[in-house]
Amino acid sequence: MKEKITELESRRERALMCGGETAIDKRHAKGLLTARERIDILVDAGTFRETDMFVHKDGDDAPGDGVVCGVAKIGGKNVCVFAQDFTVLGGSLGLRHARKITKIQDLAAKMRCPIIGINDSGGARIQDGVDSLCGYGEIFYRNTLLSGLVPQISVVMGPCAGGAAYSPALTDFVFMVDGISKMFLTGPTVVETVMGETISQEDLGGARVHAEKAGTAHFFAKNEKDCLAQVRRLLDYLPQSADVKPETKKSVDSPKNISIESILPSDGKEPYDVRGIVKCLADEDSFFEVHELFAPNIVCGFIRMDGATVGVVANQPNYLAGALDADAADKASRFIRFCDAFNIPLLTLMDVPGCLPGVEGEHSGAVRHGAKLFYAYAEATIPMVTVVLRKAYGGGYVSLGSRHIGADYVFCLPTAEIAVMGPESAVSVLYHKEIKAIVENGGDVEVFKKEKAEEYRREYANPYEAGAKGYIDDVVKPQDVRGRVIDAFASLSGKAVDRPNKKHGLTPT
Amino acid sequence: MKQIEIEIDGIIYKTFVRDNEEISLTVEETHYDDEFMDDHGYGFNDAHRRNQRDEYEVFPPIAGKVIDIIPVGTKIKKGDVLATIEAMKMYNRIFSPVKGIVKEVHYSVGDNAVRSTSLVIIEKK
Repeated sequence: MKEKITELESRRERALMCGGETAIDKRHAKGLLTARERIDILVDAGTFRETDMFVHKDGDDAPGDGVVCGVAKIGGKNVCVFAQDFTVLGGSLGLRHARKITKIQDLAAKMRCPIIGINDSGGARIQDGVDSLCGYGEIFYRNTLLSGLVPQISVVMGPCAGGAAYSPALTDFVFMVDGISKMFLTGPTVVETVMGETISQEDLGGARVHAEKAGTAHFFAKNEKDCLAQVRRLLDYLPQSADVKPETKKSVDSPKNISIESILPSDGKEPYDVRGIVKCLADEDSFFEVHELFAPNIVCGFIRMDGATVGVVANQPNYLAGALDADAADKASRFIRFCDAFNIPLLTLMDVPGCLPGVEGEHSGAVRHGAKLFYAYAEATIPMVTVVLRKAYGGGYVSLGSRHIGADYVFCLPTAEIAVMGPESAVSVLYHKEIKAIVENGGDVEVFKKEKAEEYRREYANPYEAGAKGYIDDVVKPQDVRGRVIDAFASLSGKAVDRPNKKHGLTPT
Repeated sequence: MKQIEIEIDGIIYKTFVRDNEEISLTVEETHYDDEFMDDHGYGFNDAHRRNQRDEYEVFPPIAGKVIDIIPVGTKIKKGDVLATIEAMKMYNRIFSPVKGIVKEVHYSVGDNAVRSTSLVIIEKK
C-alpha cells in the first residue's frame, strides 16, 4: 500500500508541475500566470477539485495533456472550470485535451452550474491531425447545447487563434486582457501574405480591438488579476442555471448624493451620461456594465434593485446622440436574450432620437441588425419595465421595450416626448407646402418653423398623447421612479407567459 | 473636489481628488496613469486614430453641424470638450482622448462636419 501511495504522490506531483520548472519560470518572467495559478485566483480558496489529472498523450510526457479541469466554488456556489496550460505543448488542442473539456462541459450540464473556460492555446495540435478538429467540433457542439441552459464564460488569456476562436464566441460572455489576449481567425503573417496588409497581433486581435471595434469581448481588463476579479463579480449577478432565478442579496438604498433631476438637462438638446441615471435607480455600488467599450450609444449592464438582479438597457445620449445603429442593436439584443434565458428581469431606460441615418449603415444591413432588437424584446417572457426619460421617437420607441412589443409596464418622466418623429422634422414634412410658399415670397421661414415646432411639441411631443391612448401606464416624478420600478418588478415576480410550442424561431442576423 | 472610486480585486475604495489634479496609481508594480479613469464620466474617446508620432487625430463620430470648436494652440486635458456637433436633435460633445495641445483644426463654426474629415489633431504631451 505504502508503495502505491508513494507512486500516486509522485504522479500527482508530476502533474502539478505542469510543463516543468523552466517553462513556469519563463512564463513568470513574462509576467504571466500559469493555468493553475489562474484557477486559484478565480475560485474560492481551497475549493478546486481537479478531474482528469492523469490524462496525457500516448507515450508522451504531457501532464494533463495541456489543460487543467475541475469543479470549484465561486462566492460559495458550484462552478465548472477548465484552463488551458500553455506550458504543456503550448496548450495545443489534441483529442484527449478536447475530451477533458467536453467531459467538464457535460458535468456542468448535469450539475446545472456555470462553466468558465480559460483559453490560452497555440491552436490545433498538428501531430494529432484530424483528431484535433474532431475535438474542436465536440467542444463547439456542447457550447451550443449548453447555451441558455447554464451561464458559459470564456476568459481569453493568451492566443486563441483559428478555429479555437469560435468557442468563446459561442459562449455568453468573453473576457480579454490588455496586451495578453490575442484572438483572430488568421494571424498577421497570413493576413500579410494573402492580403498584403501589415498589422501587429495586438492591432489585429488584441483585447482593445475586440472590446471596442469587433465587439467579441464583453469585458476588457488591464491585467489577469483584474480580469479574474471581474469574472467573480459577473457571476455574483447570475443564477446557476436557466432553471432558477438569481439569488436576491441584502437590499441597499440608492446613492443619496445624486438624483435624476440633477443629471437630466432641461434643454432637450443637451446630452448627459445615462449611466448616472442607472446609478440613481440601482442599489448603491451595484452597477456592473457589460460591453462597456463597444457601441457606447447603448448601455447594457446588471444592477440590483431591492437586492435582486436586474438587467438594464439604456440609450446613451453622450455618444452618437444615443441613436440606434447596427452595433447597438446587436449589443442590446444579445444582452436581452441572455436576461430572458436566465430569468433576469429587464429595465429599459429610453431616450432615443431614432436610428442613425447614412448610406454606410443602410448598406451594411441596418435593417436586419435593427430587427434583432424587436425580436429580442418580443421573444422575452421575463418581467419588463420601461421608463421613458426624454425622447421616444419612431421605430426607436417601438423597438426599445414599448408596451406594443412586450413591456409589462411603461412609465414616463414628465419630460418624455413620445411621437412619430421629432418636432423639427415633423414640421418640415407636415408644412412643406407652406414652407415652400414662404421661401418663394421671401418671408422668414425660421420663425414659422420654430412656431410650428413649438405647437407640435405642445400637442404631440409629450407623454400625455400616448397616455390618453393607454400606451403608457403612468407619468412619474423623477424622485418616485426607483420606487415605482421596484414595485412593478415585485408585482411581476410570478409572471407567466404561454407561447405556442415550436422548434425555434429565426432571429434576424 | 471630485469623489472617485477605485476598484481593486472587487473591493471599491473611495477617495477625493482636487479639480485639475493629476492622478497616478501603482498596484503591485503595475503602473496606471490617468488612463485608469478612461470612459468613466468623461464621455468617450473612440474617435481617435494614432499615427507614428504621438499625435491623435480626432474624427467626428457623427456627421452634423459644427456649433463650437476649440481654437488651435489650446492646451487640453483628457476629457476636455474639443467640439460640439449638432446632429440627431442633440448637441454632441467630442471629448479629447489625451492630454496635449491642439495642433490643427479642420472646421469652423457653422461647417458641416463629415465622418471622413477629422476635427482636430492633438499633439500628446
